[in-house]
Amino acid sequence: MIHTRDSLLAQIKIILQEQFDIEPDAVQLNARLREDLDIDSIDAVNLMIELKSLTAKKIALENFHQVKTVSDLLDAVLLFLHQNKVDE
Amino acid sequence: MRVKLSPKGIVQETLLTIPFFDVDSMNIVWHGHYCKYLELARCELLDKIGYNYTDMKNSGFMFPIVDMQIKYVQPLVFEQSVRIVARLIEWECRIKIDYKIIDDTTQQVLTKASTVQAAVNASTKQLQFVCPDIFIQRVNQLLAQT
Repeated sequence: MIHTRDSLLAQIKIILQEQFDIEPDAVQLNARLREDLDIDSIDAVNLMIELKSLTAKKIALENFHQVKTVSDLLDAVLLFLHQNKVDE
Repeated sequence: MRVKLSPKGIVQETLLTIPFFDVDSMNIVWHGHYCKYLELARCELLDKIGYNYTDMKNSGFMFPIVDMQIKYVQPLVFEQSVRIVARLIEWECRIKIDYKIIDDTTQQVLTKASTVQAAVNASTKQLQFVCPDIFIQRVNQLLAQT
């Protein structure tokens, strides 16, 4: 399955709604995970586990600490998928 | 099911007789003591895996509890013999353990619980989003044997 930025955003909206009761409309590209969406560091680990569901393979964003916004998150996941050829 | 479940499972059973000093004025175990019972079982489970709290420290990591759930299905009472069954559920990004406290005589399930521990780098105090390789290796070794 090939992920585009838009398809990934749609899936992340679903995960955030299911896991943290975050309204999909609140998940804008410039929304800050911590301040705007109230995702703490413990939630972030949970989110990482859920992101695995986007691919058949393990996803490990070791630089997740630098992810501040929804847009950063999309970039980090897409970069990981590209580097690890998970899509292919 | 999205989370990775142990296919065969790493499970440890710990026996406990409920001590007098844990019961409250209703003659049942005060709810706050349960987390210590979970710790007893968790330590034995980690010993079995070969990555206990001392091993964690020596490998440069800490694993604080970051989440805990306890469902008090039936009360525990003084002198009751119980088994605390601890099962490793997640080990790649964090340690999640499920517990059941079971009456050793009647086999009735008295308590259901779970804990989540996150890996923290001991020197930087920074939360890790992936468990240390040494821990994952130990788990996989044990799973291969079971």
